[in-house]
Amino acid sequence: MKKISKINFGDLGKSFSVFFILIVTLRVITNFLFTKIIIRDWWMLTIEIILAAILSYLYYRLKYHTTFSYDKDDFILETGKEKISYKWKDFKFISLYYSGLGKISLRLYRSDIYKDDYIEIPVYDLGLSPKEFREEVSKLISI
Amino acid sequence: MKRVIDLRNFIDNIENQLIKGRGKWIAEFNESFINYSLDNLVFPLVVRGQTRSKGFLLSRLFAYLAMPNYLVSCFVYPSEINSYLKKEKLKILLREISKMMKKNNVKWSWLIIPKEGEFNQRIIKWVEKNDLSNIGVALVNLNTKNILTNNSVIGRKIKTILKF
Repeated sequence: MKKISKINFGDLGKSFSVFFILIVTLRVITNFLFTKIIIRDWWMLTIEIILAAILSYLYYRLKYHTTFSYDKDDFILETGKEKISYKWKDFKFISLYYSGLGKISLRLYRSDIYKDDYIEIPVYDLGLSPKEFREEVSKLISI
Repeated sequence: MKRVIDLRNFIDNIENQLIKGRGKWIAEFNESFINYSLDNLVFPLVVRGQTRSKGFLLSRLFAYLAMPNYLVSCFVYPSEINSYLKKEKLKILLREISKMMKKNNVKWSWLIIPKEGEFNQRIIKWVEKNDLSNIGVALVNLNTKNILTNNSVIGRKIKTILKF
C-alpha cells in the first residue's frame, strides 16, 4: 500500500498558538496569585515555548495529522485518531472541491452529487497535486 | 502570432478560471467534476457553485443579506471536429440539463460547446433564437475565438466568464 503523510504547518501553527497563549496566561495568573509579582525571565519563556511545542505537536498528531494509504482496491484515511477505510469501487463520482484560501480536497461521491454522501480526501494537506491525483483516482474508480 | 487553443487546454482553462473566481459577478464556483455522466451523456467538465459567495466578514454579511442562494452549474460538452452538432443532440443536452436542474433545485446553468472549427449555420440560428431563461448556451469556435450565445440574460453572461 502506498502511504502519503505530510505535516501541515498551518494546523500545527494553530495548535502551537493556542497552547502557547494558554500556558503563558496560566503561568502569569498563578504567578500573580502566589507571589503578587509577574516574573519575566528568558529561561521561563524558553520553557514555555518548548512545553507549548511538545503539547501542540501531540495535539496535532491526535486531532489533525492526516495519513492516506491506498492501493488499487482500497484506501485508508486517517485524520488524527479517526480512521476510515473504503473500497474505490464504492464510489461513482469524483470532484475537486475548493474550500477557499487555496485549500483543495478531493470528494468521492457514492451515488448522487447533490446528496451529502461523500468522503473528502484533503489533497492540499497531503501535499499532492490535485489534478494529477484526480486523474489517478478516476482510473482507480473506473477499474 | 495567433495563439492556437486546443480543446484540452480550453477545458483546463475554463476549470481554472471559474475556480479562481472568473465568474464571481454571477456566482462563486467551488467544485469541479470531470467526465460527469448524466443519463447517457458524459460531460468532460462540470463546475458548480452558488450565487451567494462566502467572502470574509463584511462581504459575507452583505452576501447573506442581499444575495439569493441559488445553486448554479456550468457544463462543457465539446463538439467533435469533423462532425456537425445536430439540433436534436443539442435539444437532448438541454433536456437532460433541465431535468437535472429541476430534480436538484439548480436555478441557473450554462452549457458551453467548444469546437475546433465552424459550427453549422442551422445550429447557430437555433441558438441565437433560443431564449431559455435559466440556461445559457454558448457555441465557442476555438480557431476564431468567436463566442456565440443564446439571447437571454443568463446566456449573454457567458461572455464575462469566457476569456481567451
